[in-house]
Amino acid sequence: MRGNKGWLMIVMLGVSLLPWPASAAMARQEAARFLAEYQTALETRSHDALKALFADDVRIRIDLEEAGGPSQRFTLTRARFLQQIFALWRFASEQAYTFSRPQYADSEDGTLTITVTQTEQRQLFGVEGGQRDVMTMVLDHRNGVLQIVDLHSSSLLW
Amino acid sequence: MCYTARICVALIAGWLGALACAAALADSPARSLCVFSVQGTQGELFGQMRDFAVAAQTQGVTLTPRALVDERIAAEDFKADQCDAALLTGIRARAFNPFAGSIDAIGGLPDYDALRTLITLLARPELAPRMRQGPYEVAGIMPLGAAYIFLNDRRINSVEKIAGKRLAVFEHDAAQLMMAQRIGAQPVLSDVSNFSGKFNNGVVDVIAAPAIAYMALELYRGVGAHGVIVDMPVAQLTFQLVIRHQRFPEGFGHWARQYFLALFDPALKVVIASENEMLFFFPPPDSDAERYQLLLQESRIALTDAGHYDRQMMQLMKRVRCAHAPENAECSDARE
Repeated sequence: MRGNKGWLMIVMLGVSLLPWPASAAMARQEAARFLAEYQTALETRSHDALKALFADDVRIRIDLEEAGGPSQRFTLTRARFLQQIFALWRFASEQAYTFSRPQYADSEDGTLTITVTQTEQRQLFGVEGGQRDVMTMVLDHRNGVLQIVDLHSSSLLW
Repeated sequence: MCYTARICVALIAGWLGALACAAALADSPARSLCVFSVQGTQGELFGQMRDFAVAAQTQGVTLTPRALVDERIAAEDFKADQCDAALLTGIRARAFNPFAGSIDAIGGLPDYDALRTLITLLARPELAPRMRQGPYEVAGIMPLGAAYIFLNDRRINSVEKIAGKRLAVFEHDAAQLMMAQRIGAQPVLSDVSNFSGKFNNGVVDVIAAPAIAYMALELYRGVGAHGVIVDMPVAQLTFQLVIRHQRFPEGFGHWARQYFLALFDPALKVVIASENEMLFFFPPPDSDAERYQLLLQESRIALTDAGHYDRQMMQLMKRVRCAHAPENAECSDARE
């Protein structure tokens, strides 16, 4: 009996010390779950759900491409970035989001990275338009909650 | 018996009090307040001035607000003695008090915290003499919101590209005309009542406006799906109460400035809510932000040198800016 318990402890310790590939798979699952929450927040236009996904100190950089010209970089505050999404929800109709197959990566520092292309189609002031955002989100735990701590997007509006 | 007597005494005291109050109101001078309000008697602003009129009774003043949708007429009526007080934008009020009227200077204050500090300072008794200019006194200042640049085309993504574009400038603000010429824009003379129509109908490409105009004047139509609003305040716009101080009791101006100071936060709440409604509201590109701040500073200095802004107010605003951000380069120079 005592021997069985001893073996069990050794096995459990061994599992917990295995960083690869078990932890990578878990990280991937966690990131996939996070991305699903992000997509749902957008599609259901939930202000609170979307806000909860962004850390208070998130760093947001947008490289805005313009047809025929070099891209320009904009650094946005969390408040301004979210405000723009909310304003679009207010003014746009027939909004539809599509996402490319995401790529996940985890780092030794415990952060997770999601790379995904988000494409939005919409009707705005009677004009068909949209935007394509090639996004890299870095996720980290803040107060036990997974949140975006860094967001970079190469964006094109039409 | 004793109880009945007490009631009688209370009734008599109350009656005497009411009589005294009625007598005071009868003695209090009837004064008129011309209120520039785009929405006329509707909307929050005119409601606030009605409340102010009620509060003014505690100072022995019976104030009757009158709404005017044309600011030029409000200012002219005030100047022609048709009203004893007027609520005008700071740009228009500059004609009555260049010191307080220069708060709305280009690049004067970067944010609302700095504006709150300045308005608090201006409500102090030590600065009261500066609030008077001849027969006029600025007896209250409240935020109207920062002025932002609205463009109908996102491809105009630098100051250089504004050159040659049609820019609405207020005909009563020579500073705007000079600024337009400075950046090479084609100025189109306008006023508060027609600049939004010109923008929404494509007569002009660029305007400067506060966020509260966005929904009220439907500026989102002018910005459309391809325009942009630059999230960088080019000026802090204000409403200013100007009075003919000799028509009001001594100390009324100070009391009113304190009253208006208490309106700062409720007014700011409306401004912030309006800013949160604006679509395509982006900061300037990272590579240009510092350059644009410098452009605003250079323009402000040039406009002060040309006599459009009050030099003492420019110095006071610099002190406020440097108290909030002492690391700014300008805090170690003596240009303003």
